[in-house]
This record gives sequence, C-alpha cells and structure tokens, in this order.
Amino acid sequence: MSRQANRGTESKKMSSELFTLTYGALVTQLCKDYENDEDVNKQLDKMGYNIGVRLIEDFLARSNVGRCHDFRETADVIAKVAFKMYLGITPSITNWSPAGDEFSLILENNPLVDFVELPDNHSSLIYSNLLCGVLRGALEMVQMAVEAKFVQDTLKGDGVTEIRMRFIRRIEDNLPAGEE
Amino acid sequence: MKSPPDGRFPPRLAAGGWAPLLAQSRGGFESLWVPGVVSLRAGSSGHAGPESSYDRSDYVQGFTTRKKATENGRCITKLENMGFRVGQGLIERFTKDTARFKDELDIMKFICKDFWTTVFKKQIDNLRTNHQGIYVLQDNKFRLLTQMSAGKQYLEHASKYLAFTCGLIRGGLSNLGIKSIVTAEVSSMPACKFQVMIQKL
Repeated sequence: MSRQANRGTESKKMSSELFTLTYGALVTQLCKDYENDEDVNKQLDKMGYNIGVRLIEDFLARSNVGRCHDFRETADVIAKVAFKMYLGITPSITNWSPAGDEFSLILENNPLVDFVELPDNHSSLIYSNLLCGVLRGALEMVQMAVEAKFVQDTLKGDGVTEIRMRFIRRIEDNLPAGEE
Repeated sequence: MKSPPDGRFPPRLAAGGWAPLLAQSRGGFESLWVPGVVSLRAGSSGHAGPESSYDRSDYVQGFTTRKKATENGRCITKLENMGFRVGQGLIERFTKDTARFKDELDIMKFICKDFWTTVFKKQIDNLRTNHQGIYVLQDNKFRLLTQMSAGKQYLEHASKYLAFTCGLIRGGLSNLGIKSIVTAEVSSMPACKFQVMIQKL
C-alpha cells in the first residue's frame, strides 16, 4: 500500500478498507454456511439482487439521470454513474454484440478483491458475484430483464475482471387499472 | 456470546470511581442494564413456553418463538464473528503508523477516537470506566441506527445492527492484545452504549 499524501484521501481509503474487509467476511461466512461453491455463488447473487432492487431507488434519487432510450445509454449510465457512485471506479464498456443486446463491463481494478486470494479448494467460487445480483435486481426495477455474469476474474488469474451483460427483454408494466 | 467466567450479568460495578474520560463527555451515567433495553446477550430473550394451560396453540407458539429466538441468536453470533474478523484486519491497518500504546486506556481512547472516526465518521461521545476493566462507550447518534430511529417500531431489531460493531471492537482489541467481551444496549435510538469487559489473561 502506498502512503497517502493527505488526510482527505486517507479517510476515504480507510472506509474502502472497511468495505472490502466486510465483504470478505461476508463471503467467508457464506463459505462456512454452505457446502459447495455453487450454493455460495447463488446466495451472493440473491443477496445482490435484494440489494439491487432497493439500491435503484437510491440511485435514481441521487443521480438525477432520466430514462434511458436504449441499452447503450443504460450501459453508459451503469459504468460512468452507478459504478462511480457506489464503488468509485469507472469500468469500460466493450465487446458489444452486433445486435446491441450484449456488452462487457471491464473492471481494471475491483475494490472488492483487494487483499483477496482464493484458496485452491474454492476454484469455482465467483467471489464478486454479488455485483451481478445487484445489476440484475436494479435493472429489473426499471423494467429491464438482464443476465449478468462474470466471464473473467483477476482472482482466477485473468488480466482484468469482466462482467458480461445480456439484455433479455423489456418487462411490461403491469400497473393496476386506472393508474398511469 | 459468552458470559463472563464468573457468570454474573450484569457485572457488579464498583460504587463510584466512574469517570468520564473523553473531553466532550456530557450527561450523567445511568445504570448499566435498564429494564426493557435491547441487549445482545444470547439467551436473554425471555421467550419461555407457557407454564399452565398448555394447549396446542400455546405450545406451537412457544416453540416457534423459541425457535425464532435461537435463530436470531445464531445470526447475531455470526454477525459478531464477521465483525471480529473485520476488526482484526482494520486495526492492523489503522495502527501501522501510530506510536506504541502506553496502556489499556490509551488503546480504548484510540478505539473511541481514531477507529470510530474512520469507521463511523464521528467519535464516541462518552467513554467511561470503573478502572477495573469495564469500559462503556456511548455513541449518541450511532450511524447504523439513524435510519431507523424515527420511532420505537424497530427497537427490537436494533441488536442485529449492533452485533457487527460489537465484533469490530472485540476484534480490534484482540489484535492489540486485549481479550474482551463486548455487549451493546439501546434504550432510545439512535443512541447506544457498548460495554467492554476486559478479560484478564
């Protein structure tokens, strides 16, 4: 760890340590509670989903972004506004599918995995799977069904972390009759 | 959570001798265990089954509440353990550039000021001790409780939000070589008190 120059950034740094360590403790606990990695992955995704469905409200209230007109715009908002706001990083968007319904978020450095090493017996654990759940849950609340999954992970020796996002369908509003 | 070796809860406090330790402390010291407060001691939930008229619904209800109480206790233990692990990691990073601590009190002050500030963005409002290994840390506006402090509605859930922090303190102290038992209590949110009982080795 490099020595921080001034106190302002130092206090920020500290809270990121709290965040990272707490996430680590959470994953460790899940590994104790569930026998195999698949169940842990599933549980992380579920927890993320539950965070996402609530987080979107906070996000819309704070960010002042309006309705997105297409999936490309959504991708931009996720990477440049949402990730910046909640994780302090701005992933790059690449690998658009020709149909424009799939893209990748490339995370150069993932704050969740500072200080983390995966032990050999957890090779199928998707450590940061919570993020996928968050993305899925949040987008579901704005009428977008998506699939999010990790295709590359620095913890597994890849050069970058890559989350693949796939647009599945628009969820039609089923508002009660008489409400607009 | 473990009970102290001599099994006494609440711990008997020496009369007098309680002194405010932080400069900005204010307010008098109330008795430690106010009736009706939320406490984190496992098995203190008091959901005993009905004694007489033991009909089926009573039994089922008694069973489910008891089951719920154990489940709740287990969650709290897990949260506390997670906090412990995080506290250990944090204190290691926070203290790497600080001078060596003079004594136990010096360590407690560090927890109340630096540690608390980096984690919760404010200091502990009041630190008291009986100079016999018990410290009470009072936070008048505890950050994890502020969002649910509008009424008494969520008071019963407060313990779940404090367990992690109890672990944080215990873990931090543990890595500084102090074995302790940390409990929390809330009587009016968002204020809460953490009681640290130092276990002499």
